[in-house]
Amino acid sequence: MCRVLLLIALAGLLSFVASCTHFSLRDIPAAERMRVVIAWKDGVAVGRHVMGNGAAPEPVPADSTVVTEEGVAEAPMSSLPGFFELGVVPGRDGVAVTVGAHTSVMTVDELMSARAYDHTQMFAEAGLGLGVDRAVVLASAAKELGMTAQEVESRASFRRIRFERHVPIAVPAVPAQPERRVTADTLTADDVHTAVKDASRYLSRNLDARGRFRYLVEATSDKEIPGYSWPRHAGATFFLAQAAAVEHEPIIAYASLRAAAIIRDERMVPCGEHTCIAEDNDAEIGSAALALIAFTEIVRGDIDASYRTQIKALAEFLRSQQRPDGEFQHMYDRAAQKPIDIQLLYFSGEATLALARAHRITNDPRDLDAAVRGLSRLVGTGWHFFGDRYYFSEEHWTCQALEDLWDRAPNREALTFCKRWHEYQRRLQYGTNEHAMDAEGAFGVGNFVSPRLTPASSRGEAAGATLLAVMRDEAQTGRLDPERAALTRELDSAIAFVVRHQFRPGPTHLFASPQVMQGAMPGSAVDWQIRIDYLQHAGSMMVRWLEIQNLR
Amino acid sequence: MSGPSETAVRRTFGALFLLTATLILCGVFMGLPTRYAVVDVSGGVLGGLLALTSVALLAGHARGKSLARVASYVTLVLGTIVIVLLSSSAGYLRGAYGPVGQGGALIFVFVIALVFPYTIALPAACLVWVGPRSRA
Repeated sequence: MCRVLLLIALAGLLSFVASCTHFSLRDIPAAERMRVVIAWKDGVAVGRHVMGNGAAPEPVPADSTVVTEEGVAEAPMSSLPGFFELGVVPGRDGVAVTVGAHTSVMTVDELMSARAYDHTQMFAEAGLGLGVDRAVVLASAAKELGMTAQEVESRASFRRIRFERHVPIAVPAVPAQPERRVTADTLTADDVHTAVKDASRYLSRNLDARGRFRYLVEATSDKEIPGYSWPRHAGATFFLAQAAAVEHEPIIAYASLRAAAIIRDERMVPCGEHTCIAEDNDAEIGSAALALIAFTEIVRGDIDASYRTQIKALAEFLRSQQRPDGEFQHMYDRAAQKPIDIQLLYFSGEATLALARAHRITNDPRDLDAAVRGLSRLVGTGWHFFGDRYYFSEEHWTCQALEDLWDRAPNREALTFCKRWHEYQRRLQYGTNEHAMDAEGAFGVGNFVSPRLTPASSRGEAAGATLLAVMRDEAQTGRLDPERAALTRELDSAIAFVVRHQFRPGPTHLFASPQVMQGAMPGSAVDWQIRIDYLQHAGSMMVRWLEIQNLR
Repeated sequence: MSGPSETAVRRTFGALFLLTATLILCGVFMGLPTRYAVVDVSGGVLGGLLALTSVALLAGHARGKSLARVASYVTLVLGTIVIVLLSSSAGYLRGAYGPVGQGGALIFVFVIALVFPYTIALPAACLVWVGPRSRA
């Protein structure tokens, strides 16, 4: 039996070494490198030439941007479905498909333009896209090689090619990306101010005459994707009000008012004897909570004090949804005029923060009491089970509620909880060169998943809030908290990651409307859908960082 | 006096205990993201006991089987406690948080599936091999 076990272990080890060696990238000598030259205009390839394949270059329109992508390393890829998709590093590797003497190549820019990265569904989780889309690669190769996708699939061999992009310096009318790499060590207040301005200007620019945002936009085509979320609308309104206070730009303040007005005028409806926010029969408390957070920021920033009325009404509604144990009932049936006692992600934390902020405006002790009980529930009895040290929910709103309440009702259990949550999150935060993509400062669990901006932003928001609570606790007790440095580093790294990925201006040659995309926050380095909450979380994190700098 | 087959079984259990000790120590001190005294101490003691047992079994020490019996009982007890607690946690998350807790509940069920072979199946098989104390 011992020998059998030993043989199994040896077979596994040999298999690992052989696969690792075979599929590792090998540098291509400079003289043998493939260079693909593509002319882009309005985000569309209008000319393409592979240098060294004998064909004469096609003429390109004069006002196009010519970009050269050079293959600097390569490795074989498995053709098997499942392995193929995970065989490339999104945003860095293209794919070469060879049938006989003919080779078709899809470069990184072409795969980005075709939205072929991170759109492969491999598991039951519909929101998790991975790797490269096999069907897109097969279809493109089939077209170029003059055969069917089935023929390509059965006859081709595949290689991944690591590309380096060379964009000409004189890109018309678009400022160059700064050379300096923003990291936790090099991050400056100017970096953050510029990022906040650009993000808030993007949202202001993408607000229509009614006060609705362009909710979800595909950056390459500048087309809006259907769908809308009122909680996220309210969140984006909140960030605009925050940015207006920090950057003192009237146009941003005006945008926040326009976005707030549509909530007030079109979405606030009766929920029994209270007022809530709903589109149809079922109202959820997330919209009310985030609208309350936005309205309090508008009043706090002296943008429009008239929102006090709506603040009082929404706070009353949230209080009416709270159970005696502090938990919130997240839905309300308007026809039956009664709460529905189910719990959804985020809403309890949002409601707690909203009531804490509302109390500053209303001075109603019932709002403070409700927020205190909400926080106690979130960090106490609501999350008390075997394994609660190793498994957490999304607690970024909880930690912001902790900070907001600290000067009126400090909760040390909540502070300990948030510090523990951040200790856990820091184990998931990438350091330098811990991911095949540029992930330093992002949060994730491995190379197969592209690091996303919003988890970094939301954790950064919470890190900033926890750090502020720690600083206030230090001021009160006179004792230095050993977690302070780690929280500072976590926040700085997260902001640097987000700033590096903000479109300022981004790869403009792949965008149909580069000016519209200026300042946008994509989903990730390879997911270029822009949703309004990506900007809200990133922007609110950065505003928090600026607040901390002012206290130092 | 142990025959060739007895020796092979002893070594196999020694190897499996060594593997389990390694997995428990690595899992607790490298895999778990934060430190928690209850789990760290229990995991450390159990990992150490299993490592000691594996050395005794692999070396053919006279007290190897006695140690294996003790280690198996301790592992079974701790394993049962962990599985019961994990099950109750999964139930709590699913019951109290509905769809929000479903992901967490699923993770706990996966963890139960992962720990079961090492903390229940292996010590149970070992106890079948070493027999009750009166026959030792």
